[in-house]
Amino acid sequence: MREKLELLTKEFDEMINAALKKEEIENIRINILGKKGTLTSLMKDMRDLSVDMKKEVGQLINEIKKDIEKRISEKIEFIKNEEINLKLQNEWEDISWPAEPVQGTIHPVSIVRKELEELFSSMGFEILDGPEMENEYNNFNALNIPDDHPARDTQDTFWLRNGMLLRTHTSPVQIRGMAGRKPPFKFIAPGKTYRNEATDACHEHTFHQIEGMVVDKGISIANLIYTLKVIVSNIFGKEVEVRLRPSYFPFVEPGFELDFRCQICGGTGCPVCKQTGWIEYLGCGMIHPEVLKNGGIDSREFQGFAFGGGVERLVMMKYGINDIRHFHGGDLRFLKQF
Amino acid sequence: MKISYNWLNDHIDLKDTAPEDVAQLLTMKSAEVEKSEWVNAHFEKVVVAEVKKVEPHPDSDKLRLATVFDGKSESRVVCGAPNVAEGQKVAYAGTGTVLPGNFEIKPVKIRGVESCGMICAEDELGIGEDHEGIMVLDSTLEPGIPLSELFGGKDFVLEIENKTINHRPDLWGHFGIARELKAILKKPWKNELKYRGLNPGKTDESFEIEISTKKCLHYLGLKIGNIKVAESPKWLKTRLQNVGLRPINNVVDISNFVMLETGHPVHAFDRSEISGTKIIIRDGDENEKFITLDEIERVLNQDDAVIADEKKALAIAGVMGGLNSGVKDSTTEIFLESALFSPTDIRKTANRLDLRTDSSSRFEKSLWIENSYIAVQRFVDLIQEVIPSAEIRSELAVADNSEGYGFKGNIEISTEKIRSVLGVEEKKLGNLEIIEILSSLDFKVTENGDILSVEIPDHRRSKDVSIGEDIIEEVGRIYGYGNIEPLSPLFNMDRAPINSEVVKKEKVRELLVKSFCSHEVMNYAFVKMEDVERVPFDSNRIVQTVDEREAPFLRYTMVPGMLKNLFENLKNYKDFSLFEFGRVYFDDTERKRLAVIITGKNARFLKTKEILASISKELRTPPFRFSRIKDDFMSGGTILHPGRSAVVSAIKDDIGIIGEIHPQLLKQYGINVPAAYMEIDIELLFDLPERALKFTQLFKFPSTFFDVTVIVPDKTPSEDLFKIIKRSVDAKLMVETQIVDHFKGAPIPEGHLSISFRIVLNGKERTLTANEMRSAQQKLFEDFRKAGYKISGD
Repeated sequence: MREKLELLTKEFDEMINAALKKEEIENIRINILGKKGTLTSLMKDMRDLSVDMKKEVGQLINEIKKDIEKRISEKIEFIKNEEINLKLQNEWEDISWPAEPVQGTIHPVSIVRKELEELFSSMGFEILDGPEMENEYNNFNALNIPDDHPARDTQDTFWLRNGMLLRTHTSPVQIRGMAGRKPPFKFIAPGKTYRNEATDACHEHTFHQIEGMVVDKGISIANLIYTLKVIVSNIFGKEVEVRLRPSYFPFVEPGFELDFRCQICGGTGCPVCKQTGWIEYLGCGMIHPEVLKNGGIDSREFQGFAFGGGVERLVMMKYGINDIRHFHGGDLRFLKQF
Repeated sequence: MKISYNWLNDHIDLKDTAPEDVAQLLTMKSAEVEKSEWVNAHFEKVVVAEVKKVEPHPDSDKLRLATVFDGKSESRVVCGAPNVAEGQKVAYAGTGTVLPGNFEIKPVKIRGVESCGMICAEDELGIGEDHEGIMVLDSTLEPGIPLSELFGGKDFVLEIENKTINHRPDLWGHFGIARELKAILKKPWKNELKYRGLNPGKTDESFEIEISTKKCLHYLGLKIGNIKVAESPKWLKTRLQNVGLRPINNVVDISNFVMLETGHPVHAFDRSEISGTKIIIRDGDENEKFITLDEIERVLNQDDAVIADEKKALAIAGVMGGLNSGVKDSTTEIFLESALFSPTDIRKTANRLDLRTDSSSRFEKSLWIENSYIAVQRFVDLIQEVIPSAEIRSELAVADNSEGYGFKGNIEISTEKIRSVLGVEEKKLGNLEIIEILSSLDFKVTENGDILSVEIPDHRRSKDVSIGEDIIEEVGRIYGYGNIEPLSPLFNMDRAPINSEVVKKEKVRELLVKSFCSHEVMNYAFVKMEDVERVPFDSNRIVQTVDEREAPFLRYTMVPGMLKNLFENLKNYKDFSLFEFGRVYFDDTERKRLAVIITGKNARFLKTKEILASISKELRTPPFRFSRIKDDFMSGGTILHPGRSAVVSAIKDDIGIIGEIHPQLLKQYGINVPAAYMEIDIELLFDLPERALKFTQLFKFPSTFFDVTVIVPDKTPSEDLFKIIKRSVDAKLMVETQIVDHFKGAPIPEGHLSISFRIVLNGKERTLTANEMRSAQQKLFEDFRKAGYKISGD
C-alpha cells in the first residue's frame, strides 16, 4: 500500500510538473482524485486493511489527497497568471500616437478681459456694461468734450444715420454708471470701442478698452497712484515700476498718462518702448467736476479718479502678437494657439 | 514739434542741466518728449582741409589717392569722387568721427591701400542731398577750421508729442517751453520776451484795419520799409534747420523764427501788392477762388475768413498767405500781420482745404492776444538786427473784436483742497511752497488765510486754466507726481454687486469651449451691401454710417461674419465649430447675441439643440420650447433650412433660432459643405429666471422597465408619441421615457421609421409585479394602435 502511495505521489509530481494547460491538470485531477482515479481506488482498497493500518494509511491518504488538491489549485493559479502575463505581452498601445485636445479655445482678448475682470472684482469693483451705439451726449458732451473738439470729427468718429454714433471710448459708461449710483462706488467697464481710422498692424477701427472709476469723499491722486500700481503689478504678476506724466483728457483734471517699466528690456530701451524704457499704458486723472456734475454727483462733497486703457495692447504684449488685425480676423490658425 | 536746446538756452540758463535731463523733466512735468537726439555733433569734428596731392590708385581706375592737410598734419585718403582735385578746400572727417546715421570713420584698407579718414559729400554731412561728388568749400577758408564755424555747432533736439500740448497754447514755441523750465528748475529769466512798445521813425503811411467777421478776434498791422531780401545769416538758418525748417530768405525766415520762438504765427505781405491802406478781415465769399503761396487754387466759402484789401483777398486768415502778396526777392517794403483768429474756424478751414500749416495748427490751440504784440516786437527786433537798414514806417494799426474771449477773473482755492486732491500732507507741501510754484509759473497769488486768490497769466487764460482743478494740476506737476506717496483708499466692507450677465456669459463660453470644442471669434460690427442683399431685412431698421465706406451697414444678424469665418477656415480645416458673443444693431436699439456655427460631422440640427439643452442645464433656465420658424423671426427663414430649423422660446419670449444653414445662403458665401447655426438673444436668455435646485429622494426599490417599438410614418413628430406614452402610463409609476433605438429601411416599410422607447417605472414604496408591468405594456400597445401606429411584431 505504502509503495503504491509513494509511486502515486511520484507519478503525480512528474505529471503536475510537466503539465502546461488547465485541461491537462483537469485530466490529472480526474486520473487521481476522480471517481475512478488512482487515489480513489486506493482508498477503496483500504477496506481490506486491518483497523490499525486503516487508521494509519487513511491518515496518510488524506494528507496526500490534501497535498495533491493544494498543488493542483496552485498549478492552476500559476497557469492563469501565466496566461494573463502572456495576454498582457500581446496587448500594446502606441504611446507615440498623436492626441488632440478635445476642447475649443477662448479668444485671447476674452482671456485677458476675464483676468482683468477677476482682478478688479477681487478689489471690490463692480463690472458695468454700456451700449456700443451711443448718443452724442454720453460720448462727448457729458464728458466735457467741447463741441469743436477734433475727436468729434468724422475722421475719428463713426457717426450713424440714425443720429447716434459708435462709442469712441468706454468713457460714456462713466456717465451711465454714475447716474444709477450714490458714492462711494467703484466700477470698471470693459468693452468694444470704435474709431474711424484706417487699419494696419498697429491700428484697428474696432478694439477694446477698459474704463474704471472710483468716487468717494477725499479720493486723491495718492489713492490713484496706489490703485493703479496694484493693478499693473497684478497684471504682470510682480512689482512693476509705474510713473505718472501730466497729460490732457477733457473729462479729467488733472489728467495723466500712466507709464510702466518696459518688461521687454527692463528699462534700458528697446524697439517696443521706443528706446524710452517706459510703456505708455493708460490715461487717467481726477474726475473733472463738470463730469461729476453731469453724473449727478456733488463735486464739493465727492472726489474721484477715472482711468482707461486699451486691452489689445496688453494682449499683444502678453502673447507677443505683432499684428492687431488678427483679433478680428477669425482665423483658426491664430485662435487655436490660445 | 521740435525744440532746440540751444534755443531754450537763449531764454533760460541751462548750463547746469544736461540736455537729456531737460527732456526728462519736460516729460515728467510739462509735455511728453517722445524722441530726442544730438544734431550736427559731427560739425565739431569735421574740418576744412586742403587737397595737397591727387594720385592714381595702383589697383583701381575709379579710385584715387588724395593727400589732405587738415591744418595740423597730412593724411592720405582713398577717394572715389570724380571731382576731387589738387588745391581744393574740402570737408575732411578724420578717423573716429561719427557722421549722421551713426557712421563712424575707421581706418580701412581699400584695394590694398590704407585710407585715413574721408572727404565728405553733402549728403554724408546731412546738409544736402548731393552725392555726385565731394563738397568743395570756399577756397579762402583756412585748413583746420571746424565745420561748426560754417554750419553752426551741435544742438540737442527734443521732439514733443503734439497731442500732449494740444490744450497748452503757451507751449507751441521755445519761449513757452523755457517758461516751464524756469518753474521746474527754479531759475530766473535770462532773456524774457516782452512787448516794450515800438518806435516808428518817419511814418509815411497809416493803415486802417476793419474786422467784419467773428472769425478774427484781434489784428495788428505794421509797415516796415527799407527791406533788403537776401539769404539769412548762418545762425538763423541753423536754428531753423535744426528744428526741421528749410531756410528761404531773411524775411520769411524771421517770420518763422518768431513763430517758433513765441508760438505766435506772423505773416509778412509785400506792401506793394496791397492796394490802398485799408486791411479788411472778412468772411470768404461763396465760391471765392484764391491761389495760396503753394500755387494751388483754393475755393473758399463763408466758413473761411480772408485778409483782404479793398480789391482782393491777400491771405486765407490764419492758414496760408496768397501767392499774389508774398515776399519776393524784389520786396522792399512789407506789411507785417500779427493777429488772433478764432480757433474753431481756423480748424474747420484747414480741415476742409486739407491745408494744415504750422500757422493753422497754432491758431487752433487758442492763442492769446498779448502774444501777438510780443511777436511783433520780436519781429521788429530781429529784422533790424538782420537788415540794419529796416525801418518802421507806420504806426501799429490795431483792431479788436475779442470781447468774451478767454477766462477772465481770479480763481479762489484753498491750500487744503489742493493738498486733499493731491493726497499730500501739509508738512510736505506747505502753503509757501504752493505759492512759490504758482508764482514761478507767472500766476499772481494773493493769500487770504488758507484761501488763495490766483490771478491767471495771459498765456494761460485763453484756454486751459479756468477752474480750481487746473490750479491743482499746476501745483501737482511742478511739485512732481513722483513725489506723491502712494496711499490706499479707505475701503468699505460691502461686497461689490455681481454682474450676472458677466457670470452667465462666462459659463456659456466655458461650456461651448469645453463641451462642444468651439472656438471663440470676434467679428466687425460692419457689413457690406452684399451681406444685406443676402439676408434681407427691414431697411428702415438697418443702421448705416454717415460716411461712405466699403462696409457701411451695422449688422442686424451675426450670420454674415460667421459665414465669412467659415469660408476662410475651410481652407485649412474641415470639422470645427466657432462662436461669437457680439451685438446687432437696429434703428432704435442694439441687442447682445450669441452665435454658434458648426461644420463637419456635427453640422446637424440636433447638435444645435444639444448645445441649447446644455446651456439650459448650465444656466438652470426654464425648459425651452421649439417651433417651426414663423414670421421670419431673426431672419431665420433666410438663414436656415426650412425643414431643419426651429425657433427657440422660453416662458413668453422667442429667444433665438437654431438649425442647419440654408443651402442657398451657404452657396452665396461660397461654401459647399453643410453647416449648423444658432443665434440667441443673450439678454433674453440671461434674464430667464433660474430654477432652484432641489434634490429628489432616490427610489428605495429598484426601477423596472419595458420596451416598445413603434412603426410610424416619416415626419411623425416624436413629441406626439411621447404624449401618447404620457397619457397611457400611470403617472404615479412613471420614472422616465427614453428613446433607445430608431431605425429606417428594410424590413421597415418604405416611408416609415421604427422607434424603440424604454419606459422606466417604479412603484415608489414597493417593487412592481410582473403583472403590473405586463398590463402597463399591453395598455400602451393598445393606445399606440388606437392612435393609428403599428407596434413592431404586430
